[in-house]
Amino acid sequence: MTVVGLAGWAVAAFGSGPERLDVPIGVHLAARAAVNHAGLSRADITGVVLAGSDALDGRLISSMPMAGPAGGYLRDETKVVDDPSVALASAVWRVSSGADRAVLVVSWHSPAESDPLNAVSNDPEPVFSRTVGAHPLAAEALAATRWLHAHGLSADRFDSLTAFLAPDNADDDRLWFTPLRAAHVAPVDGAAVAVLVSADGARAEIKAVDFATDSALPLEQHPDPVGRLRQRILARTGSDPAHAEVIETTDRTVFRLVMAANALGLGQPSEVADAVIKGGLPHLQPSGGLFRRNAGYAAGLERIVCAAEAVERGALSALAHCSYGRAGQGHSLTVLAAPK
Amino acid sequence: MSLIRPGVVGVGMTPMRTRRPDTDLFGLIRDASVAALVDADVSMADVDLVVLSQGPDALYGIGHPEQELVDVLAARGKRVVRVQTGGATGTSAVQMAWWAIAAGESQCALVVGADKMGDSQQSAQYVLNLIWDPAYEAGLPLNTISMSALQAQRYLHRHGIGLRRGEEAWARVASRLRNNGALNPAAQLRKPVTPDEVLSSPLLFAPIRRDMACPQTSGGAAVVMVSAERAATIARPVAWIDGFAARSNTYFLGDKMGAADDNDHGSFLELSRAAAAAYAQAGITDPARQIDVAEPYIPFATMEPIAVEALGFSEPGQGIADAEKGRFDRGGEIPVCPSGGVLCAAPISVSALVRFAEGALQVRGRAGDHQVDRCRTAVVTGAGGSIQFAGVAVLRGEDS
Repeated sequence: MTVVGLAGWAVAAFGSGPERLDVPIGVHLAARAAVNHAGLSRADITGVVLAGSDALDGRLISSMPMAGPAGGYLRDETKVVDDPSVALASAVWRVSSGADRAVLVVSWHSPAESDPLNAVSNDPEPVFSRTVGAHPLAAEALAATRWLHAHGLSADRFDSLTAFLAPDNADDDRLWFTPLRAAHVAPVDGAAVAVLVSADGARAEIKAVDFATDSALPLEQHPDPVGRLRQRILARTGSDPAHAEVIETTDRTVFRLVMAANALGLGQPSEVADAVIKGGLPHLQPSGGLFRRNAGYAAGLERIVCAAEAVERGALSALAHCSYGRAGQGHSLTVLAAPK
Repeated sequence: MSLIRPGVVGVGMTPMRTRRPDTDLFGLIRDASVAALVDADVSMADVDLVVLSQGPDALYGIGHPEQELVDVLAARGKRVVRVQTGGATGTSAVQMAWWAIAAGESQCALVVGADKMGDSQQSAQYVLNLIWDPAYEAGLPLNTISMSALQAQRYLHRHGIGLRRGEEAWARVASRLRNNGALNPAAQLRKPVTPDEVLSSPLLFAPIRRDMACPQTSGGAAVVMVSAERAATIARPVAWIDGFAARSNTYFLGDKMGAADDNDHGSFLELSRAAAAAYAQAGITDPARQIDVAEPYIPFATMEPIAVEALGFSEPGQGIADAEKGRFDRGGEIPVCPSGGVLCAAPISVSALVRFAEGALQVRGRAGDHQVDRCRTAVVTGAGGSIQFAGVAVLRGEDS
């Protein structure tokens, strides 16, 4: 199989106010920047994988207006819904199998003026779940509650971490679903990300990528889904992905940051928050994480870009962990290394 | 290409009906999955990848159904991927599993989906109007019928074919496909119609009449795909996937006009490009001679002449004439949609997956009453968006 790597990437903010970019234009600029970053032209691109959410975009088939701007015109283009890190995994399959030479993975989060919490309110199953208020955010709160209970922690223990990650909003005590307050959740600023996956000339080699999906019911989920993925990658590659020099994770909430760090063996839940605040975990989120820049739906791909940037800065290995779906039901691990 | 040869060892379909009030979307997904797993003689424990073929959420009213799928299919801890490319979703989903198996990342993949369009409180065309750009096109009003009607008019204009000849030809196509569907127990529309009945059915959007158009359908479909290594351990006939490619075209219909422009709304440029790539992979150099059966995605009878030209069965502008010669009849040179095709059942999320499944049934010799004799090589297609996305696969039976 062909060795696959990241040859180029780009992250582009859409901006705000009257200067805000139209989403297809923003996606196009990001895709073009990634191709340039890879030192390639569009003629070199054989395939495109889009990753987007129709609901968040407010479109019935969001790949229709996005395929062309993303570079898909007369190319082999498809769209993955689950998460952009899953889209990247499929791009790896395409290149490693020999089906494609170079594949663009393009994701975005449309900065719609409608409330994204309303946009996803149709997600739960309509007969049993939706009627009892099983909103995706409620499911996320339930998952956090379960995790806090399992580790004998209270949400108050995370006030200092919240203040550290979101100093300007730490006092925003609007309660969304217990225990989630507005300040616990990373703000979405709307961004587009494009990553080029190529066999040759890679800036970062993809050593392993794997993902798994669990139940949508928070109380039914596997107690250690990240550990399960670590074991799968360990069995295949002979090394624990959590031993990477740099770790980037989708810390959509303060709880998710600590959950991920604990699952990756970086410390006990009661210790991680203090360690982050005191700089004791410098290899965790050196980019600053989602509380600094959150591409929303595209965050999983942006984490991979941040990991690739760490490799380019000299790290021998970097891990991107993404959680996605309802109550973090899906997890992916992407292991990057310096090219040989 | 270093592709490991993936194959299909299981096919499952629910009966296609207008409404299925007896079950929900996930019930259809489960029923189709079980049928495919039984056909393949494997269980969910053998499946290491699930690809959900699921089109626009609004057609069945549940957002992100892939999140519910895991418990429905006992797939906790497995890789689950949902693909959504509109009408082409079925081919895109199969292509995803094809990539995974070819890369050695999956040994056994389940591709499944379903739709419940007939249960929608709004008509499908009301919902499908929302695929268009809200500022420029949605208000025209465009939907998939008017979009296809414009394509039919453009095709006639492009090739200098008169309207009456076109209407009569499309009526014969519709009649032929409906007659084919009468032999398919899974088809929704199983009552044969004559060309005269087609021409006297209500006009939807000129020149498309009701009986030239696909119905609204509820139903599910699934296939089980395996690596060649795994196929050797399963005592089931295999449909080998020897070519697979997709191409994406421009979103706006107005970008596909111009006398000297091959990218014309009256053609299927994306389909012909995808077919050329899939044929090259499969070693097809003369499709009219090397392909035994075709299951192209034809939701409107008006699309058949354009599709057979894009697939290389007819010269440009000759699709109607070749159909009149009987080349695409069940006993003809290249039977087109012996299942009745999308014209007899159109559950959008899996319409293209059903085309793939039907192609697999044909080359596996398991198509029952609509089996084509001596069928070894099949080509199947999917199409979606604003006549924008196309996928093409070449399937071969074991004796090829």
